[in-house]
Amino acid sequence: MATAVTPPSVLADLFPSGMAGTKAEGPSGAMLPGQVAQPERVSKVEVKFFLAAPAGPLQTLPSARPGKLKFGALNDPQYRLRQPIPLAVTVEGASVVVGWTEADEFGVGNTLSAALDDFGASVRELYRRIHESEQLGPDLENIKRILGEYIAPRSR
Amino acid sequence: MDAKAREIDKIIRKLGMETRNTSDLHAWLVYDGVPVIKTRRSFGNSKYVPADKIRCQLKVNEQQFAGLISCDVTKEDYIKILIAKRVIIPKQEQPPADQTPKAPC
Repeated sequence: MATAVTPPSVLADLFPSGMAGTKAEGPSGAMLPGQVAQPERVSKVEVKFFLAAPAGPLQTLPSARPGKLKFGALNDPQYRLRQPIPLAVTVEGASVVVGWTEADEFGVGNTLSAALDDFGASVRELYRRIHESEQLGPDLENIKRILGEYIAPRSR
Repeated sequence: MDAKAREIDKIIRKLGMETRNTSDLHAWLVYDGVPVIKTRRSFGNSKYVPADKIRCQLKVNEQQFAGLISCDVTKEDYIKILIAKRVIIPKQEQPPADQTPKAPC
């Protein structure tokens, strides 16, 4: 959808159609004729310039950064992903934040790539630490269960 | 809400959380020998600290989070909050593991 904004207008000279001072052909017969406007102005006309500007949802350009994505690169020699981890992507200030709501885990970076690297390192550390403890509180026990659905040790 | 790294460090120190330095500072609240809460912050004071995400990890609302930063909420107060939210279950009343609900943020 496009809407017209207040158009700028100028007064322009209107000349009669056709050309004056032209020759039918050049001296050699091959040259194109010179084109000169008629010198006598017919009138002045007002010319308006209509500018088309996008309105509504189209006014913001689509972002190349997705709002959601699935994380599939744990990059760890000991652990692998059973399934990709769903992440929400937000921009806070100048930083990109990726969040895994189910496990209350996040990653931060100046770019989406850096935020994903940060998230991967955090999840790896969380998995290691949470499996070191014989006993956990109810919330961490729940996170351990969720982690188990997504991450598994690599078989040797 | 904006929280800087030093404010998160202040909370970690106040609550006496166990810390481990890897690529980030990982902190765990241990109660009666059992880890009950985890959080972390990235190194570097200039790195953005997502306060809302850390608040969710600590299982507190915005007012309680502000209290943790400003000293209005003590460690004892915080433990009471976690007990009320069933994030901490005192040992004499621990239910079977499969009946532990996830505490809301």
